Amino acid sequence: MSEPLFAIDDLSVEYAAGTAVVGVSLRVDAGEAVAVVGESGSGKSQTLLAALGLLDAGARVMGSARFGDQQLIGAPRATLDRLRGDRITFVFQEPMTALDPLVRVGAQIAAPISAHGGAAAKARARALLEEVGIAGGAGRAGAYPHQLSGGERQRVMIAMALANRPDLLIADEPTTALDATVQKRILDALEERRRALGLAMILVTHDLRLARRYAARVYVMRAGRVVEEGATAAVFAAPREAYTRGLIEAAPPRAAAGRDEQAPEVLACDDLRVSYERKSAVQGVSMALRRGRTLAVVGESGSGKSTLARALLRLQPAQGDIRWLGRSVSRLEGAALREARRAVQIVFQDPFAALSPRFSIDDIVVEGLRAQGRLSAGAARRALEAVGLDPAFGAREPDASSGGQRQRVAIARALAVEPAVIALDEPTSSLDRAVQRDILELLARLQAERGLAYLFITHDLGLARAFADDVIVLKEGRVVERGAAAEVFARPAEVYTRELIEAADLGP
Amino acid sequence: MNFARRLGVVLLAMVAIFCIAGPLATGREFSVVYPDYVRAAPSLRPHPTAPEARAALSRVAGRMRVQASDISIADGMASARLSADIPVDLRALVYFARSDAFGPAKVLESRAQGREIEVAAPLKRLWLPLGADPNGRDLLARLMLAGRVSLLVGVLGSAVALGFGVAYGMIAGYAGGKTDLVMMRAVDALYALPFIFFVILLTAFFGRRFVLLFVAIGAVEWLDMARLARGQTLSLKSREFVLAARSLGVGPAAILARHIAPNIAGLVFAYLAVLAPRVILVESFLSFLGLGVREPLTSLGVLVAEGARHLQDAPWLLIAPAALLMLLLYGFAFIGEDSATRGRLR
Amino acid sequence: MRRMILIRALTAIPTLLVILALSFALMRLAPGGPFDAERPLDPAALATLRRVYDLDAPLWRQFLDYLSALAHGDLGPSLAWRDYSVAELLGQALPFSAALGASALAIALPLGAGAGLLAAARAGSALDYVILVIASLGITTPSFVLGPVLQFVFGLRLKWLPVGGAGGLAHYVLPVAVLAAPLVAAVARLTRSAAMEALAAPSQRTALAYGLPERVRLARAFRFAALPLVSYLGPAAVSVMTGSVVVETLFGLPGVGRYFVQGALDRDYTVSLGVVLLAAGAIVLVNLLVDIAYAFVDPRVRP
Repeated sequence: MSEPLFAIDDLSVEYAAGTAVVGVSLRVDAGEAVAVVGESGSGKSQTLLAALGLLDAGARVMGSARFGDQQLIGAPRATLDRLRGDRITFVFQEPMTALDPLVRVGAQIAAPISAHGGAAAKARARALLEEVGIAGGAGRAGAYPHQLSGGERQRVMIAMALANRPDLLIADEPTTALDATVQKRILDALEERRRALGLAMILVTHDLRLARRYAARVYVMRAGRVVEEGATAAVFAAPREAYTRGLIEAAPPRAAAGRDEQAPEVLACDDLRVSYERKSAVQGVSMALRRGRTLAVVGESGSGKSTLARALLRLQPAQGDIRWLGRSVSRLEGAALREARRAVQIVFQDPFAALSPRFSIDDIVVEGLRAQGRLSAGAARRALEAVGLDPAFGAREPDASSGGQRQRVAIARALAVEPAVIALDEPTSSLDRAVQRDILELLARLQAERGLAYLFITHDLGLARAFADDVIVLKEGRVVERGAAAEVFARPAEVYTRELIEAADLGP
Repeated sequence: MNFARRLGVVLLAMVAIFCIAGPLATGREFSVVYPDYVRAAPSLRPHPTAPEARAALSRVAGRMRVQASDISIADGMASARLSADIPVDLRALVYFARSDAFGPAKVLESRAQGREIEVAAPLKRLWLPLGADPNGRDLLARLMLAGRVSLLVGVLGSAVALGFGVAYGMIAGYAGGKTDLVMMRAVDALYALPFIFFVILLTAFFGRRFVLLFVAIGAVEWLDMARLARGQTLSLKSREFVLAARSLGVGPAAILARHIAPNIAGLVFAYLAVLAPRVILVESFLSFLGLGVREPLTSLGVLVAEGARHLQDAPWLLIAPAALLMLLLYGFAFIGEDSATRGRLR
Repeated sequence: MRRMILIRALTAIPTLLVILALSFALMRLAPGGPFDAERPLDPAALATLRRVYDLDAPLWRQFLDYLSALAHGDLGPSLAWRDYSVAELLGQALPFSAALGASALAIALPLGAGAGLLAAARAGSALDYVILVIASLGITTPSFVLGPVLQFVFGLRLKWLPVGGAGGLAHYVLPVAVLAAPLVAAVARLTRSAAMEALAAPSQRTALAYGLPERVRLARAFRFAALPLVSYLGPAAVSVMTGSVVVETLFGLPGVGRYFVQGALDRDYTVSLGVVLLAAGAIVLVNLLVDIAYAFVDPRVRP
C-alpha cells in the first residue's frame, strides 16, 4: 500500500461530559474522494475537527492524525497554521455563520491567499468567484454574505477552500442547510473542480445517497466508532451492519392504494393567498382533499408548504375561500371558529416543540376535549391506546419521553377530538429511520380504520411517492404541478418537478 | 456562576433577616429620641459611659436648679451630692427618671435642712451599637427600618412594574398586527422620555407620598418588562404547541394563561433579580434628593444623604447605611448575574 | 440611508411633542404654583405676577403659546430665577454639564474597553476574575454612595482634593471620577462579554481553519465586539452629559441637573420643561446617531 495523503489512527475525543469519538482510524490517498457517513451525533464531524485542532479547549484529543509526514495532534500552532487553509481546507455546514458577516466576500476569499504568501490575492479571489459559478461572478466580490443566497454563500466557502489549491478538502455536511436542487448543483460544481484540480476530499454527511454519488470509499460511523468501511459500491450492495442497512433503505413500503376518488370533500380552498412582512408566501392556491385520501404537498423549504397548511387550518391570516367538511369557514371568528376547529387537526415536525413542556401527557392528550367541554373519564386512556402507547405513560411529562413517543402523543392529541382531516407537517423528518417507519405505519393504520384524510406536507419525495394518493408540487407559493402521485412521479410534466425528483435520487 | 447565585441568596437572606427580625431582637422603637445621645458614636459598650453619666447628671442638676458635687459612677449606680441655697425640692428628682441615663433617684441622706442631699440613681443601660443619628435616634433601629422600607419598595415597585409590563407585553404580543404596532410604538416613545427627570417632576410636584413612589418607579421600569414579555409571547405564539392548542379550539385567554404565561414565568422571575435592585436604587436616589419617603419613616437613601451631610463630624452615619445598601444591591447583582448569563437578558 | 434619517427626524417631532405635553400636564395639574413662598404674597401682587407670566390663561392656551414661542427658539423666562430666561440658564449650565460628562466618557471608554479586552483575552484567569469582580462592584455601587465615600477619603481625611464647588481643575477630579466609575465598569463588562462572544463565533473557527494570522482574527473579532458597545454608548453619553443630578447635587456644581431639581422643587415650569426638552431631544438625536454608527459597522442593518 502506498503512503496515504492523510491518515487518522486510533483517534479519540473526550469531553468532561463523556466520550465523543472512540479509536477512529481512516485514510485518504492523494486525489481520492472518501465519505464519512453517520447520523447526527455519531462523531463524524468531531473526528475531523479534532484531527485539524479545531475543537474547543474543553476537548481532549488522543491518537494520531498525520498529513504526509507531519503529525497534527499536538503540533505547534505555527505548523498547523502553515497547513490549514493552504494544504488542507475545510468547508463548513453553515456558510451564514462560518463566513464573517461584516466582511465582503471578496476580502474573505483573499484573506487565506495572502495569509499563505500568495500574490495578487484580490484578483485571484475575483477569478475564484467565477470559477465556482456564482451568478454575477467577479462582480459579487463586494457583496456581504447576507446579500447572497444560501447556495451562493456555500460557493464562496468553496472558493475559499480552493483558493490555495490544497491537497485535501474536508467538506462537513456542505449542503445540509440547502435545498435539494441547490444541493445537487453545488456538489456537482465541487466535484467538477475537485477532479480538475486532482485534490482529495473527505465528504462528511448523514446522507448515504450523497456518499454513493460522490465518494469512492465510505466509512460508516455510529456512536463515535467506525462500524463499517469499504468501497462505496460494495457497502451499498451488501451492507454488513443492520445500522448501515437502516441508513440505506430509503422509503417505507408503499401504503396508499385504491381509495375512493369520489368521496366527499373534507378540506378545500380556492385562490388562497398569504402574505406577511410584505412578502407573499402563498399566491393563489386551490386544492381539495377528499375523505380517506392523502394529498401530499411537496416543495423545497420556503416554497410555502407549511404556510399553506397553517392557512388552511385558519392558524394564519389568509385571503381566499377555505372549506372544512364542505362548509366555508373563511369568515368564522371567535367561538364559532373554535367550535368548527375540531374537524381539522395538525401534527408538526418537531415533537419536542409541539408539546407544552409543563403538562403531563394525559393533560396534553385531552386538551382539545377539555376546551370543547367534552371531557369524559377514560378519554386519555383511550387516546393513548389508539396510538399504541401504554396508558400508564400518561402520568409522565413529555421531557421524559423519546421523539417517537412524543410524536405518538401529538397524534393522539389530534385524534382525540375525532377530526376528519389531519394535516401532517413533515411528521417524520426529525425522527430516526426506524422510528419514522413505525409512525408511518401507525398513520396508515389509523387512516384505514377511521377513514381519515391526510394533508401530507413533506420535502421528502420518496415519502410522498410511498404515502400519498395525490400530490401538489409547490414552488414560490404557486402550484406548478398536480395530479395522482403515481402519475406525477412516473411522468413529471414540469422541469422543476423533474429537477426535484432527480435531486431526490429516488432510485428505481 | 452557581457560586455567585448562592452567595447572592445568602446575602439577601442575611439582609432580610437583619431588617425584619432585627427589631424583634432589639425591641427598640425607631422613632424614640434620646436627647442625651445626639450623634453618639458607635460603641459596643452600653450608654451612658462614665463621662456621659457625669454630663447627664450635671444636666439633671441644672434642671433641678441645684449644684452637683462628688459625682461618682460605679457598679451601675450614680451618686452625687446636690446642694442649693434653699431646701432641695424632692419632687424635682423625677428629672432623673426622665433622662435617658438614669432610673428613679433615691435620697440616701439629707443634711442642713434639706439644703444638701446625697442621692443615688441606677444607670439605665442602653446599647447603641451603631450610634445615634443627629436627632438622637438609635441608628441601628433606623437602619433596620430603612432596610425594611427599601425591601418593601423593591418588592412592591417590582410587582407594579412586573404586573403591568407583563400583562401589556403579553396582550400586545398575542394580539399582533396593528394592535401590537400601536402598543409598542407607545413604549418606544416612552423610552425617549428622560425618566429620571420625569420621576423627579412627578415626586417634586405631587409631593412625597408613599404610593406615588411606586407609581413613579413602576412607570419607569415597566417598559423593559413589557418588551421582554412581548418578545417572548411573540415567539411562543408561533410555536407548535400553541398552534396545536389553537387548532384544538382553545380560546385566547386559556392559551395565554395555560401555555404562554407558564413559559414566560421563568424568565420574568429571573428578570426580577435585575428589576428589584433597580427599583431600590431609584427609591434611594429619590430619597437622596429629598424626594422619597418622609419622616418618621426612612429609607437607605435618606440615611445615606444624611450621612453625606455629616461626613465631617460623624462619618459612621454614612458608613452603616451605605454598607447595608451595598450588601442588598450586591446580593441582587450576584443573583441577577447568574440569571442574565443563563437567560441572555440584555 | 438619507431616507432613514429623514423618517427618523420626522417621527422625532411628535415624540417630543408628546413628551412636552405629558410633562406640561403633569406639572400644571399638581397643586401649588411657583409663587407660593413660605410667607404668602399679598393677593394683588400675586395676581400681577400671574398676569405677567401669563399663568391665568386656560391651560391649553398656555401650552400652545409655549409651543409657538418654542418654534421661534424661545424657551421663556424662568419663574424662580427672576430676570433670567431659561435659555440663559441652560446656556450657562449645559456647557458645564457637557464638559463634565465628556471628560468622564473620555476617561471611561479607553479604560473600560482596555480592561474588557484584557479580561476577554485572559478569560478564566485570576486577572479576568479580578476585573470582573471590580466591574460588578462598579456597576452596582450607586454614585450617591461612591461620591460621599470619595469625598470623605480624599477630601476630608487625606485632604488632597476639594470636596465641592466650582473652581480650578482640582475641583473636578472627584466629580468626574464618580461619573466615570460606573461607565468604566459597564464598558469593561460589555467589552469583555462581546469580545468573548466574537471570539467564539463560528466565523472565528473558519479563520482558524484557514490559518489566518492572529492580527486579522483579532481585528475581525474587535469589529464584532464593537456592535453592542456602540448601542450602549449612545444613551450612556446622553445621561452623563445632560447633567448628573446626583453628582451635581453632591459636589454643589452649577449644572443642568442641579437647575432641574431646584426648578422642579420651586415649581419653575419653564425651567423644568426646558430641561426635559433638552434631555429628550438629546436622546432622540443620539439614538439616530447610534443607528447610523451601527449601520456603518454592520452591513446587515444597512437599509
